[in-house]
Amino acid sequence: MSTLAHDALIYEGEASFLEHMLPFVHGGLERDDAVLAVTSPGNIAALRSALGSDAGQVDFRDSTEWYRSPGVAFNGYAAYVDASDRPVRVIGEPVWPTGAAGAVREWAKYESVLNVAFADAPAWIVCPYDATSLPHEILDHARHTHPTLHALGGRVAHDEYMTPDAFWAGGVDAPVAPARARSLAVTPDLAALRAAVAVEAHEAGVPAERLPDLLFAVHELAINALTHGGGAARLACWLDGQHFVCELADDGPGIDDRYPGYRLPTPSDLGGRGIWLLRRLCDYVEIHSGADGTRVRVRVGRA
Amino acid sequence: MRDADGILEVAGWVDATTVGVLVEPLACAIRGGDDVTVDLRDVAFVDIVALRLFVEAARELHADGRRLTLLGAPDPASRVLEMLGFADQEGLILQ
Repeated sequence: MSTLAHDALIYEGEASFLEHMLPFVHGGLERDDAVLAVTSPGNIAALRSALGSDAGQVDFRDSTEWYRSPGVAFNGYAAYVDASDRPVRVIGEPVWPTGAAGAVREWAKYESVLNVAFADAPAWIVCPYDATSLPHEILDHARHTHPTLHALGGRVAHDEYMTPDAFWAGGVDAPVAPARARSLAVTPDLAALRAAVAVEAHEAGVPAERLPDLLFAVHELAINALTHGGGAARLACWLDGQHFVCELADDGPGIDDRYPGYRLPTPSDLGGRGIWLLRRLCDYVEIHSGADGTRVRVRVGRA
Repeated sequence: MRDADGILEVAGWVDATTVGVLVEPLACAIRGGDDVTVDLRDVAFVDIVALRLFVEAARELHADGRRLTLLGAPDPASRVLEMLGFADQEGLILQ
């Protein structure tokens, strides 16, 4: 296989997972493909045990670590594909967040963008979705973001798939910042802004070790808004479940990139990759551009 | 900021709003002919603009067989450099 295959597997519990994924892994090993299995500890244990001595030829990774954020996962796959001199077969099962609708949508957009970002990669990726535990909304996303469904005996095209352009354009607009959000002025005194955000983040329970990354990200957003934002920029911070959210709003036209932050920077290019960096420093980056300006939200998890 | 024997000591923060202050002393240190050290141990924050300046300085020094050492660069400077592919930038030492 010389270009990307990206299947969703909608399965029901461990036995069903094995029934589908064992032949997939065996098939890859027979062809001497590199085989990477990123899934839950439970599924890893089941797969190891079922594979027996063949398990040693499979790269197993715990999904909690691999799928720390969409940006981290994206980069992990890019590095893996890049480093392999063979075609790769991947089982990629994210840890779906609960509670924050924006976070779920960001993971779905990440799944969607793989179809273009890895279009030419010699990779067959199967993303398993456990129908016994996932909500309907996420199973719908599975069909919207995967051009094919994985089934016993073959891959099946289906008519619910949406192109990344269509999927990214859809969805409801993010609700505006809640009334309880703390507003901070964005002025050229960025040191004051960082200090104010540090206080808010600390009070919200953001772990101290996450603070430098958050401040780096907010600083980048503020610089960008002051430079390109077309005037007034506003920063709002609030707690959203397990996330501390910072939203930078400005009157600018937005970001001139169809899938901001989902291309790899080249080493010669230290500038112009702000959003890509934000996706690695923060847990989630949500971007909404429209007639009323641009809003970029970054989220980091609380303690 | 103090400048002695190719060592620049900086305090406060180095970002887009302040980096201009560092440009001339850094250029001067590069002209000096020795390795250059920027002491960032009293710096609380550096941004991408500052990192870009340091990478460019390291490249220039490396072309001349010399090195730039960043002493105590605050988090996440070293990780950001690594993410952007500068972990192995020749002529750039992070201590």
